[in-house]
Amino acid sequence: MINQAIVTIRDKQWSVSVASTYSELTKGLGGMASIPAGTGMLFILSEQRSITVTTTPMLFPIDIIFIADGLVIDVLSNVTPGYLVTEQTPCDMFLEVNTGEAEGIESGDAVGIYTIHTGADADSISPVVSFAGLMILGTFMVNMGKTMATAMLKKPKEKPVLYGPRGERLLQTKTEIEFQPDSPEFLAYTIEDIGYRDKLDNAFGQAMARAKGLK
Amino acid sequence: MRAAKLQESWRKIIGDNAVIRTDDRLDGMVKHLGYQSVSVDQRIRDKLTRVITTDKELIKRSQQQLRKTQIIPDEKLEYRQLTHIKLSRVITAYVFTTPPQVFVAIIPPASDRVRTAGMYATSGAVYISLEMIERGRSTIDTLVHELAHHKQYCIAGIAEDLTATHFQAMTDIAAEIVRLVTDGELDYLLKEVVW
Repeated sequence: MINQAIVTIRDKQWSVSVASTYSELTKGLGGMASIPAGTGMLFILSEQRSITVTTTPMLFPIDIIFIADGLVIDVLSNVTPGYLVTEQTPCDMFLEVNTGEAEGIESGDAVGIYTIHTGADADSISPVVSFAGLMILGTFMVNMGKTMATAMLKKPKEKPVLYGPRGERLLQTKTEIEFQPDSPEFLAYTIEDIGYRDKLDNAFGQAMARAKGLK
Repeated sequence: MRAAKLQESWRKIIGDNAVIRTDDRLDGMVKHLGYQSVSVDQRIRDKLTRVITTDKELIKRSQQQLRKTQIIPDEKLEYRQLTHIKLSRVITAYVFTTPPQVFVAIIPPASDRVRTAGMYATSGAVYISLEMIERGRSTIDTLVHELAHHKQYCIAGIAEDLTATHFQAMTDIAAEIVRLVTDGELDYLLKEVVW
């Protein structure tokens, strides 16, 4: 069973817990007061798909890195508790880490994952691998103070707050289509299509006449 | 040379407004840009995409072009244009508790086949072109359509035309505007409006 992994992206590394079962995926980091710097949780999905992540039960802000086919497809920074985050592009895993730790990571970055087998398979870890693990953990410890200080001093980024139909806060990730352009012909057509051409013309016509003292 | 021949053959056989389909979810946007997506056999698709435009490339080019949109500051607008944009902003504030920003802008054509009269940016902004802001009627048409994109994006996380969510959002917003106008809530702004 895999429940630990080392995730490497660019020059950053995290020692993470792995969530892959239904209960692990739904629980996530919910209820935890905090996690040490350089750690996080890697969520492995059973198939590649678009995913909605809730930070409602969380108690601290995080960065989320969405991954597909070993590449970063999107990064969300400083997601505070109480949000629903929807990633439109299908992904097969995502990584949650302390806020600020994903800084500098961009779409297209390669993701290296070194899994650590524990439980029944724990004895199979070779001494070399164990030594490498200790070395990596040592590096984490050195960087921990710096990372924590940076995170504490960093001002959280402002985010637009959108509300869903049930009053929940929504946070959408970037999609490929940022701008939705419309031609003049199409704009006029859609007003006709919803059946509001005459209603708008009549309402404005009467109100303008009233406002101009003609009626 | 071979690429040019392939492109020529593609134009003659498939059409000069055809692009290679890589993702059918992009079909609506491709159509919106005045093109059509065409599926090609997987075995030749990789080779063809080296010389023939794909749906993703078309959209990427369009988005890059639209990024050049220039907002026109209010102080540079003529009186009539200013009247219409003020009306638009007041309506927007009535319709949304967290309203998107509404600007007059010079919006580049979305492709070599279509002009852009209005645009919604998922960052939460509505752009109305100079052409549309000239008259109250075209301003309101644009506003209803683009505000519906904002509502759609807030609820469903997408801003897409020809969808049920956009149709419903347009209907709701148009109904709200008709109610506001009929109730006389906007009379103080309508004296100078040119419909």
